[in-house]
Amino acid sequence: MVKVKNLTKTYKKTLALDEVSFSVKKGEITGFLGANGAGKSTTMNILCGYICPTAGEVLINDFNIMEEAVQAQRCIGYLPEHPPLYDDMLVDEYLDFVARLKGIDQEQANLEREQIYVSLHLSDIRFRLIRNLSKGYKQRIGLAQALVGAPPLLILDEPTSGLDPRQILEFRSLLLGLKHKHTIIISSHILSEIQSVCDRLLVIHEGRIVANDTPASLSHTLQGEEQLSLRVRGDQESVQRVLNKVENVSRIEDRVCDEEGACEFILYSDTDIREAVFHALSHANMPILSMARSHMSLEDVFLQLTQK
Amino acid sequence: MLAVWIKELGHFFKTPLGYVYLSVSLFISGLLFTLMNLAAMSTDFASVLQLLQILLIFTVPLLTMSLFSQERKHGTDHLLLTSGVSLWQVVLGKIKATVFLLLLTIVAIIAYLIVIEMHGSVDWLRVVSSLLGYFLLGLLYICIGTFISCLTENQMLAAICTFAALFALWLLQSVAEIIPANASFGMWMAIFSCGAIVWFFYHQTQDQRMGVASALVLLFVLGLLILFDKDFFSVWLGKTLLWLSVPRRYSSFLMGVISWGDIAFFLGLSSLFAYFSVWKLEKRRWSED
Repeated sequence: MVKVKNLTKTYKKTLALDEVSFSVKKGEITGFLGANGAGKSTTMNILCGYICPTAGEVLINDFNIMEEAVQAQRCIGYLPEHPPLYDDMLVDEYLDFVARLKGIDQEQANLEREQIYVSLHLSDIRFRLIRNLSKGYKQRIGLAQALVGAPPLLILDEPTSGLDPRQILEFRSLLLGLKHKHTIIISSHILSEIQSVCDRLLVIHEGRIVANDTPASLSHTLQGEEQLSLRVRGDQESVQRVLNKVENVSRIEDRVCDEEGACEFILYSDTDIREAVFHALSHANMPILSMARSHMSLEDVFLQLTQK
Repeated sequence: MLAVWIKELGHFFKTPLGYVYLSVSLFISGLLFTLMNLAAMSTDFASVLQLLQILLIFTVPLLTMSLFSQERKHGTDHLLLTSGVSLWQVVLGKIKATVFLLLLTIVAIIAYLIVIEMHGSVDWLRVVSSLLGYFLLGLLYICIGTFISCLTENQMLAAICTFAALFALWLLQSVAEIIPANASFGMWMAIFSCGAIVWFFYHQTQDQRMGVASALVLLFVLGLLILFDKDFFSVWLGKTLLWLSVPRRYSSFLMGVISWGDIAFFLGLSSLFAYFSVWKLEKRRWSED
């Protein structure tokens, strides 16, 4: 659906994008993560043809965004960071204008508009002035204009910026509802939001892609060793003697435990040792009070990648 | 183009802008008609149109100042430039909407002519010629204002610069009459103009070789003129300014003279500024600023 090859963008002497390459498959939701000034919005602006790259190629549904701009742009629904709304228009009037702008047949446009009102819960405000609407509604109308024409690709730049937690949750469920019909590229600072909706992550740092993988794989790759947190009923020495005998445990760290009669450890290994630990402790008649496999959070992944 | 045209027209009439423009235009034209035709018992409407060209210099900047500057400031240019619509369609749609307002004032002016016809006799050929000239003048001013609106996000700045540009265009004939017709002054102005052209060319292409090549070509041409036609320098500036003088060409229309050359001048210059608008928007896409 999207192929980006060696995308470069310079602003005077600043290299905003440095030979960025990635691809997005049809039906994927791809999250675009990066600190402020990393190059997310620049990339998105180039993808939708708002600005031109200094070098490189962008193919949207096999249309080159520079040479076949009209065809490529017809495949894209773009929601920029600040929704492009006309304050002096009614919601219905605005969406009708967007449909005409995109060259959509009037009958089809009317049908689509009704579907969009239902799916984005905008029916109650269709005849209200955009100027008078809340930030949350304006963001939804921004998404609505991106959906006009049923484009196969949606590019959403910080779509939940400025929304309160409840509105963010609503927006997230809207996105999940769109997942099956559209390929989506979404950029955000809110890592939990990215984690909950995205199939794949692109992390950009100082104009370069530093990671391109699923959230789980990224976490696993960066973390390296498996970590198992364990709380067991029994005295520390006896439990540790049993754990030392478990195969594939490379290291054991003991922790201070606040529960009386119990002890806490972190076990390090290259493989999943939960079953082996369970059998060993069960054989030694030592009850396991809690066992948790820890992994790097997305925040940890992001911080580690962007500190390099 | 239709979508942009309808939207822009809607904007003019949802804000006070369209109403203020029409009110001011109709008030001033009505006042002039009352004073110069009704009170003076005269059927000569061309003199009213002669004065109305000055009104255009003040009102057109107000219409065109927000055409592109507001879009850029509010981020709505993202929608226009990423919806699969060509830049020409966007520019022409906006120009068309503004020209529509101009046509509304012309339709109102026809009402005055009907009143004159009811009580006297109108030279309709001269009137048609005058109205055509007025329309072409308005079209040119609108295209200039549209281009200037593409240059800045600040509406007031766009309005002021458009007013200054239109006023300068209006004064060209007066300037042409006071320019010294001497070869030395003409030569220095020619060198200065060539320097400005070379600088502009280099600034746009950022290519030193092109800049040097254009400088050499222009120096060669100047050299040839110095050698073979020194009289050129005495007259070129005055003649160029006169040729560019808009009021002079407009006056021809007011006298009932419809010249293809004048029509081509207005349409050509209007098209050039429309092209500049498209060029500026396209250039911004490639900009490294």
